[in-house]
Amino acid sequence: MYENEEKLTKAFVIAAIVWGVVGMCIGLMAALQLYLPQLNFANEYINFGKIRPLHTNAIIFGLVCNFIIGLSLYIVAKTSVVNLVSKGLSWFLFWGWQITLVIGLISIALGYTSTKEYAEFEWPIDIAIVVLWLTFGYIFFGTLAKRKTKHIFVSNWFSGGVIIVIGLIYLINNLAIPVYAFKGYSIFSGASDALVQWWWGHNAVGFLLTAGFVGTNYYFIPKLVNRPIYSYRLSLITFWGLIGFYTWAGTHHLLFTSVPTWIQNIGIVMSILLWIPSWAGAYNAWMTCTSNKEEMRKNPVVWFFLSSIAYYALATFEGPLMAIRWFNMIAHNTSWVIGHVHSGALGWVGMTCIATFYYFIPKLYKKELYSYGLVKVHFALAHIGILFYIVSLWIGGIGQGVKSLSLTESGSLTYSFVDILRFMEPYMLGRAIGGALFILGMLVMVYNLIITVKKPQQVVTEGAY
Amino acid sequence: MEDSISKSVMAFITITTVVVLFSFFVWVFPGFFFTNDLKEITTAKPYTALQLAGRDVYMAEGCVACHTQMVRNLEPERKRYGRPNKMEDDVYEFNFLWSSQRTGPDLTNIGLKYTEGWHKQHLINPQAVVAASIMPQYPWLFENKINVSHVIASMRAMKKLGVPYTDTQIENSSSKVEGKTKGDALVAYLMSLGVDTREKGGDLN
Amino acid sequence: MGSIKILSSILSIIFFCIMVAVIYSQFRKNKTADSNKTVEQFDGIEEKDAPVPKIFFGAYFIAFIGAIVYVLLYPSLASWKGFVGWTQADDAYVAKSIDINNNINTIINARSDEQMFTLLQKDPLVLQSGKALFGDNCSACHGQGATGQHNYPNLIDKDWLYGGSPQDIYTTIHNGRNGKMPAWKGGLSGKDIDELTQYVSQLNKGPFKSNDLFDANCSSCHGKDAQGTHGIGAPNLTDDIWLHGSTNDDIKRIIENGMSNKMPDFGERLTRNQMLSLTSYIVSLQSDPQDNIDFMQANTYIFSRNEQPLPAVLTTCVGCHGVDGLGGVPGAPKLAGLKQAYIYNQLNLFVSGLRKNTTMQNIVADLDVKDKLLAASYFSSLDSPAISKIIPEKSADGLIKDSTERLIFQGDWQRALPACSTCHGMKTEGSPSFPKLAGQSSDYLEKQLFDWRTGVRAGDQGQMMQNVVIKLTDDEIKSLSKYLSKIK
Repeated sequence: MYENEEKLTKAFVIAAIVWGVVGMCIGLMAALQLYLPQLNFANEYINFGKIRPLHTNAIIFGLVCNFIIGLSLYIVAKTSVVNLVSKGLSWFLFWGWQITLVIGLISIALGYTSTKEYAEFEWPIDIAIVVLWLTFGYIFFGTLAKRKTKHIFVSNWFSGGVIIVIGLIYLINNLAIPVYAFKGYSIFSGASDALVQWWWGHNAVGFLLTAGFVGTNYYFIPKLVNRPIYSYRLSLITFWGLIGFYTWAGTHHLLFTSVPTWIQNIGIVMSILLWIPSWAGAYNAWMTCTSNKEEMRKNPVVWFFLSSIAYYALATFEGPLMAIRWFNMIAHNTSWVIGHVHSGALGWVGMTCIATFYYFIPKLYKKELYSYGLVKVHFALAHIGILFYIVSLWIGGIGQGVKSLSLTESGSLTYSFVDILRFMEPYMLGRAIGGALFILGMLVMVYNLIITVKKPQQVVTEGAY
Repeated sequence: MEDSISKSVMAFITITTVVVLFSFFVWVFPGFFFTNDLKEITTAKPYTALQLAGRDVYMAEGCVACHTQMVRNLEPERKRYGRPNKMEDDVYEFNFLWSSQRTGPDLTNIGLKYTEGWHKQHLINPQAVVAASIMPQYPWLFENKINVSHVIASMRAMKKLGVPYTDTQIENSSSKVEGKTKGDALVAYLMSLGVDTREKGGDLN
Repeated sequence: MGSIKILSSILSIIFFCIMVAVIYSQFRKNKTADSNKTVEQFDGIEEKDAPVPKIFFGAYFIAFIGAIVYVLLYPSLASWKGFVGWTQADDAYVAKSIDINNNINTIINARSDEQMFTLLQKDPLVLQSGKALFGDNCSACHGQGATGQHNYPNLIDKDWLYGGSPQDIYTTIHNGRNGKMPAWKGGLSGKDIDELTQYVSQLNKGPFKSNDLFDANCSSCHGKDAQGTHGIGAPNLTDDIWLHGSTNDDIKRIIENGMSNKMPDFGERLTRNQMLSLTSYIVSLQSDPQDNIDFMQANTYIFSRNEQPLPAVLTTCVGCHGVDGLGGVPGAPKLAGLKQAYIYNQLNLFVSGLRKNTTMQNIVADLDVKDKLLAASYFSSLDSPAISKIIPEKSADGLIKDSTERLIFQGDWQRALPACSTCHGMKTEGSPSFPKLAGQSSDYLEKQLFDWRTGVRAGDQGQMMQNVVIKLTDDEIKSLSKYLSKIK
């Protein structure tokens, strides 16, 4: 019954993995350029100023969106017990997305950029993405409306929320007038532009990077451990908390700037309130994931889910913490923010993706995973990599912040800018090492999955638990 | 009531959209109405043609990946970077360039600090001037010429957005940028930062 | 704008009420939860009805109350300023404990210009402030160690375009400078320019010879003797400093195109006291050893031996030189008992590069004046063994028998070599300007003597050590070092 859905999902999942590895390698390049500026090669197209947005866009639109779009469509079909409303549109969505992304990334390398974070694509690409996103929304909600079940399964609330919120905010934030060819200017200026940008910026991570995965986890974790979702009530609290408070938290990116103080402060209040539903969701996932003790002990894929939940809890605690003025004073504009981003991106998003790939790809191809031993190797590499990454940037970033603000007893600055730059050198290296190890783990996974898929028959190999 | 989101697609879409729109109307929407009041009190002046061309170069080259243009009103920050930003300073900044990372220093008031010659030397080879720098080198900027028609299009677009350029200014702009390199434009832009909004006396305090 | 703010405030309150209502409703319903009950099943996945742990409702309750209190006290609604009347400017990060302006103002009010700068230079806090200002405002052009680079002058080499007195330096910082030289292309023929180029390139290579072209066109700025004019910043062309390049191509290019070398003005950006601190710092960097010694003697830090624990900055030093200052790591000499002024002077010689050593140079780059004074005080206060009197055996004609001992205590007048003890003391126990040699590591002494010879070490008055060492043979250097190391 679901042949097309499975084919489509395979396409999206493979695309997600490819973009994931590519995006992470670009990220490693960025990290190395911050340590060895010679790696900019005095080149117009691959210097750090281009590499950084190439990295963020490849990961967000490549890895994250392909994962969320592909798997949410699969889940909505299966849990609604219907086929997707339109096969043709689904494939238009898939191919349109990949082509748009490739053109988009090339355009950034060529210098066509709005410079607004994760909204760098210029207006022609934006139009394509909005059309594709509306297509996604139509397929998703159209399928959901046709459902055979009475109610809407919890995963679909989160995916639906992502579609609505991201669609709305992406559209408004990218409103621009064309200037020439691929160049446009935002219709907003200065502080107004900053406010709409960080309404987008924070909700990009809140919905694409958080809600989207909370949604898919509600399907894949119970499937993996073969146990029920622990509490429907907790999922309700989480959903309302996320759509409610997340959308307000964005102004914590603007503390101490020139935007009105009341706007800054309301963001602080909501950021702290946001902590509670985030941990409620983590608790629900944790209880679900640990309800099968046997599986938990033996299956390293479960460990990946457990780790991702733990990192989710860490990141959703650290975030509200950094929204408090005292911490924000130190953190703002430093690498501590990058460390926070990546504890979430690698720990929560990364490990959720990895666990899902390990569980679901064999199922999709009707094979047994080739080697659980290699999964354990990946597990170690991923954790060590993340540790290198975030510890380097905790020390480097917090140090950077504290030193930037440090005054001597007589009121003069203690450190010059170059002093701080020199201080950060070893931590830039540590971070690059962390990223490299994480990528190495990903390559182990790709190897494992390729062999899994290519095996002629279902064979349970040694190393399987 | 709150679980009606699980009962119908229409209810779900409506509820989610309404809840999300609260944030929009409370703190994003008011921002659209600041501009007219700010224009009346701003000391910022619209960019000249060459400076605007330079600003487009700044955006295209990804300078925001490392450099902020937002000085916070904290003593150590004032001491290092000068006068803190006020909301009205950035009223002509389509798009805003505040950025969010200080891999390199803040540039809000950089026009008050270095000479043109220094900027050119530094852009071509930052390490030659500041040994510890991790900034990339930008030698091609001083070899590539400005596209004059792009500058005219930029000024026209800015005028549409409300920046007070006159038509004469826009017509004369080609003579101002003809033959100049992108590097010249970028230096002109950098030299303008902080100049119009400068206040008298001791801003590094 | 006002009505928008009111709308915004009302919507905030409505939103907050909605969120509270949702949580409260769930709280009320939580009683009927049953973790064994299945709410619904989708695609084989059951959703169970486990209760929400009470702690989440407790947390929400506290958070909601906290939010209400916060919104009442601080500006978070568009049209409400908050009871506390807090503004963003109220968030200070650091409170100053010493207002350096008082220090400076007191000095300025009580003294003449001349004495003012002398006194300012001696205040470590003034210098600390100057160093910080230098790092962010000056070093991008003048280099981290103020040693300058192509187009930007060296500030510690005693060559000044506009004058090097503290007043001159202050004026330069305050007003900026714009050194303008006219372009001679078109004004002079190509042949004339070539002749001038050739002439100027030779000016630093021998005694001054005049030239008619130069006299007619250049001397009005550069002086009849080509030694420059401070008033307008026209450089001295007879020295070895070529700020804009020394090749014939460079010289010709400058003559043809002129020059407009600019330094930005800081008068509007820094306060008077900040500029005084900067000036004092730059003056303190001047590498004349005698300046450093005078400074040291006027500003001794007495390190209290009872101070516990060791000040952090000294842990690097004692790592190689030993807590007892008696060395330890090969290459790190004994410092115990060396005179304070001498140690301080050596640290500054590392900064200026006159004394070359990669390890030491990296370390001193991070030290400020206070650190260096502290290090000098600490090591000079350490015990070093008293040296017993040395009575070398003499032959009948009064000359010391052993050749090494003779060099040390009598010298060699045939080679115009003074005795080491003439400067280093009767027992080679040292003085403020000359280090103690007795008991120092033999390898270290040997290396220093060779370094003086090759110029790796420099910076002493009148190049005395170099003049001495070039007259010694390699064997003598080795035996001297051995002997001195054994003196007890």
